[in-house]
This record gives sequence, C-alpha cells and structure tokens, in this order.
Amino acid sequence: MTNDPNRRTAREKIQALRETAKAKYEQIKIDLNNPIKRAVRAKKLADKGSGLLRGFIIFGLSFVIIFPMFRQITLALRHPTDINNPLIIWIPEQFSLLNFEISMTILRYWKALWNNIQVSTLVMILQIAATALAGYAFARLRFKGSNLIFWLVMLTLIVPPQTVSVARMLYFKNFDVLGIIALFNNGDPLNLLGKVSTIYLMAGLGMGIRSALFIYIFRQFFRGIPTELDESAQIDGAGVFRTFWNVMLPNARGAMLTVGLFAFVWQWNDVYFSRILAVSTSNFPLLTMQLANTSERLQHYLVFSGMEMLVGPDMRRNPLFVSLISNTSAFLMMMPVLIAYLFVQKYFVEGIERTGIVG
Amino acid sequence: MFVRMIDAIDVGIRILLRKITRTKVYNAISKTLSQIFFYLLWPINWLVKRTYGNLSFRSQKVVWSFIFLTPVLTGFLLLFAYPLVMSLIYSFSDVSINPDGGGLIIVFGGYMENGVKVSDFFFQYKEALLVNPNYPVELVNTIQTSVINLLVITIFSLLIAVMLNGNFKGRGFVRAVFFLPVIFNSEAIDMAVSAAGAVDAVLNSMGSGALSAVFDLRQFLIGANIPQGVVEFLTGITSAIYRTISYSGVQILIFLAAIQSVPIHLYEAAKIEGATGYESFWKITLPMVSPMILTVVVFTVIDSFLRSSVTPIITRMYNLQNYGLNAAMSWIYLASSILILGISVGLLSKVVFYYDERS
Repeated sequence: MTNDPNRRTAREKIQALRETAKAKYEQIKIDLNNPIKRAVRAKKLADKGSGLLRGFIIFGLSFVIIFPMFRQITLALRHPTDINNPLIIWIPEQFSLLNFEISMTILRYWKALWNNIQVSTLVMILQIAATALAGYAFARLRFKGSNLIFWLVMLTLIVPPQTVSVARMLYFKNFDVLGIIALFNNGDPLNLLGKVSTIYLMAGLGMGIRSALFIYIFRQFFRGIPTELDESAQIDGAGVFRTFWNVMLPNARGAMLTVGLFAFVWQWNDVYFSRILAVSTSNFPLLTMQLANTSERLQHYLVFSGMEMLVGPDMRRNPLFVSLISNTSAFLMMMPVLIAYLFVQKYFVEGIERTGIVG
Repeated sequence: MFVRMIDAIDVGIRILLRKITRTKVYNAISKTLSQIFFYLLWPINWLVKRTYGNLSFRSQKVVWSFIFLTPVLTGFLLLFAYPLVMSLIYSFSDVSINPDGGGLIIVFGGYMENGVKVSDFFFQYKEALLVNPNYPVELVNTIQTSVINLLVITIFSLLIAVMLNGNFKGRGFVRAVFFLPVIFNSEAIDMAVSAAGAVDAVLNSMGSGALSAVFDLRQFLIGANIPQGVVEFLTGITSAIYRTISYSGVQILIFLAAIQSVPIHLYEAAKIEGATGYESFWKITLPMVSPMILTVVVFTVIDSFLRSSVTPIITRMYNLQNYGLNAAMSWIYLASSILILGISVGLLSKVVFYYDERS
C-alpha cells in the first residue's frame, strides 16, 4: 500500500502544500509583529476611519441645514386645503401656487424686492468704499496715533448698537452739525428719521452694519500684501493714491468679495436698523419689515380681498395656514439672495484663503 | 458665468472708449477742455505744488491717510462718539420731552419731584436693576447664554473648520452649504416664523399637539417607528445644531482662513517625524490659530449680545419715552458685555501663541 507511487506523490503534494501554507502563515505572523508595517496599517485604518467619520458628520450637518429649506419648498407648494391632511408628507397632492400668490400680495413683493435690491446694492458699494479706504489707511499709511484711532473705530463693533441707538435717534430727529445745516434749511435742523438716505449716510460714513469688522478685514488683508509691491510702485513714480488704486485694489478682489457679500446680505436681512430708523414706509416697503408683520396683515388681507372664498372661511383662523404663509413669505424673501449666492459662492468659498482675514 | 458676463461688459466698454477717443472731435474738445481746466485750476494746482509737492513722501502718506480716513472719522465723531456721550449723560439724568415744543428737558444728576430737583446720581441705574421686574432676569439670562454660546460656538466652529479644510470629494458643495445659514440667519425670518409658532404653541398647550408637528422632523421620525425618547433627543440636537451652525458662519470663515494660512512645511516636518493627524492638530493647528481664537471669542460675545432678550425691554423703554432709563439699561448691558469680553480675553491672552516665521 505504501509503495503505491500515486499515493506517495499525493502525500508529498499535501506535504508541500502544507509547507507553503505554513511559510505564508509565518510570513503573515512576522508581518503582523513588524512594527513598521503595523504602524503603516494603523495609519491607513485611522485615515480611512477618520475620513468616514468626517464624511458622516459633514454630510449629516449638511442635511440638517438643507432639510428645513427643502421642507419649506414642499410646504409652500401645497394647496391650503391640504394643510391638515395627514396623508401628505412630502409630495403635495394638489400642486398650487396659491400660497405664493397670497404671500406676494401681502409682502407687496415686487415693489419691496426692487427697494431691497436698490438699498442693499447701494449700501454694499458705500460700505466697500468707506471701509477699504480706512482699512488701507490703517494698514499702510500709518502715522503717530493711527493705531489709537483704529482701536477707537473697533470700539464701534464692541459697543452694542442698542447702547447708542436711542441717543442717535434723538440726534437724528434734530440732525445738525454745529448749526451749519440749519443755515440751509430755514433755520430748522434736519429730520433724518424715516428716510432711506439715513442708511446710506451711515454706510458711507463707515458706521453701517458691522462696518468695523469690514475695516478690520481690509486692514488685515492690506497688511498681508508684501511691502515690495508698493515700494516698487513708488520707485516707478506712482503717488500714494495711484499705488492704492492701481496696485492694491486690484489685488484686494477677494477681500472685496467677502465684504461685499456680507454687507449685502446683512443689509438685506436687517430688521434692527430698518425698524429704529423707520425706513420702511408704505411708500417704500422693505421685504424684512413686510415679512415681520406677515401674520397680522394676513387676516386683514383675507377679509378685504375676498381671497377668503378661495381658501375657505375656516382657513383664516387656522394657525397652520398662518404659519404656512409665513414660511412661504420667508422663502420668497430668501430666494433672490439664494440665487445670487449660487452665482458667487464658488469665488466666495474658494477665495477665503485670499481674503486675508488672518493677514 | 457671472464673472464672464462682467468681463464681457468690461471689454465692450473698453472698445467703445477706444473708438471714441480716436475721433478728431473728441481730441479737439478734450484739448480745449483741458486748457480751460488748466487755467481755471491753476491757483489750486500752484498751491498744491507749493505745499503738498514740497512734502516728503512720508508726510504725503500722512496727508493721504487723513483723506482716506475722513469718512470714517466723521462718521465716528458724528454718528458714534456724540450719541455715546449723550447716552451716558442721559443715563444719569431725568429726560423728558419738552411739552412746549421740540427738544428735550434734561435734568442732570437727579430727578424732578413736584418741581424740586432731588439729587440722586444713580437713580436710573437703581430703577433698572432694583425696580424693573424683567430687566435683571433677562440680563442674567443673556450673560448665561452668551457664555455658553462662547464655549460651544468657538469649539464647534474650530472643529468644523478643520473638517472643511481637508481635501475630499464634494468639498465645494459642502462649503457652499455650510455658509448658507450665514445668509439665511435673519431676524425677520425668525420673527415671522416664531409669530406663527406662537399661535401653534397656544394651541398645543390646549392639547392638540399634532398641529406643529407637521412642520418638523419629529413627525417624520415618529412615523418611522422610532422610540419617543430617541426622537426627542434627535430633534433637540438637530434644532440646537441648526442654531449653532447659523450663529457660527463668520467664525468658521475666520478659522478656515486661519488654518489655510498655516505654513505647510510645519505639517510636512511633523509628518516626517511620525506625528499623526490628531497630534498635529494639537501641536500645530491649535497654537497657530490661537490668535484667531481671540478674534472669534470677541466676535461671538458681541454677536450673542446683539441677539439678546434684553433688547425688547430696552426698546420698550424707548417707546414709553423713558429715555433716561433706556440709556441706563443699555449702559449696564454694555458694561456686562465688556466684562465678559475682558475676562475671556484676559484668560485667553495668556495661552495665545504668536508664531514668527523669522525667528
């Protein structure tokens, strides 16, 4: 039996296989104990794990951000009679733009939108102009005491606007500078309340919404530009203003984009200043102020416009309907900025490293 | 696309300008005009040459610095410093509107009682802190929330900035999403939605809890048969997270810029020495961005004080035309904000690390 040549070769084969397996096993064992390879493996695992964790957290948070917006849209597209229908969660049964119609009328949408665009754009330009000049002066055109002035200006950021606003309003009611304005206004001081130009005045004089922050950003940015640049411009015969206009400003596009975006959006969303300065009037409605009063105006509107018939008489007193209209109005207010943001977000988001907030 | 459009317009205007400048009529007109202006402005030109032209470049810079700072300085003096001082004076006095016509009657350092002045320097402050029932409570609330916000937002935004900084798929998209709350973080939207929410809350307290549920995640999760406790926990966290994200947009921006300005060679050296990502975060990223932590802390405190629940009380005092009490309240408010700022900056400035590339 043992002499069977076939059997022997089979046994040898098994033996050989066993040996190679053992060798491989030993190899793996050595590999496992090898500190270098172990470290490499641990690092790979840690990298993958942390990547996975990061992906999980980031996309989870993105979901948290996007979800309410998505919800707002799906809600806005429902017909008002479907609000109390528990069967509808995502996709509306009856698509309708009725909510949008009602919201647009209550907000006086097109007029208010046009006013908002006008005010925000002008404020943005004025803010950029005033703060870029000041930031450049603080960064490059230093003199004795310019640091002191800088910290004084930073004080405007630290002092909450509530502290100043009442005295400011009382001052604005009878606005005058050393009696000069009264000379041109039949001896009476000027009343600046209830005028849009007051907001422009504040933005142009660097006292708009968080202007001090913008001055800070511009200062840090201009400090980050190498001094060789303006020295060479100076050697080539450029004066101070020319250096600023032709050399520095073209380099500051990133900072200008950041500041411009913030100035625009904060003005767009602003309630505080629009309210205390009483800017939004019936002749000059602003979206934010219209939106803030939506739920009160809805009742009036439904009764007086006959829209009550369209949505049903019970609907007027339905709190869900009120919040539905509020939601839709909020969405309508956000939409133009959202669309504008989609255009500039790439330059904004990727240009952060060049804004030089850090210097 | 947006930038391309602007570029196209820019090129078009340039071509148009070139065509205009090449015509003969234009040349003739411009020549005569420049001559007229030369003779008209000759005295000014002479004056500028005699004074400004004789200055050294350093002094010229100072002159330009003042020109650049003019708008901000005027704004600071007129719209900030003057109202601030006036508000300080109001806070120590009894302010009332003159019944005979415009203007205010200010009794400094006391109040009128039956036509006799009672001298009490701090009576408005006493009234704000001791008599008014709501103000002290809301002030303590504000201080608490702002301290909590300070910790949570600073840590959260640093972590998010570190996560967003890495290179991963869909980075552009995620970054764009994370800055959305900055844009939509509007008081008006909050007000509109909460005005509607108030109606809901009333109905909910009367026992119809299902009403508000349509509008959030809760019903969705309950519908998916998830236990009540887990649902409460999740919805609580998501709303807290959403609020935190929407308040920490600027902070993430600042940290992201700070992280991106850390020299890469530091990380490379650490990697060669065998440091893990975790170690290099603690040993490199954190010390390098620590100056920015100071900035973020200051900004967060200011920001959370802006959203304070004290504001409505202060505004109500204005509407009641109790200007003195209003001023006193806002000065207490300012003092507490500066106190928190001072403590946190004092604590942090000991651990801040300033990196100098040259040393």
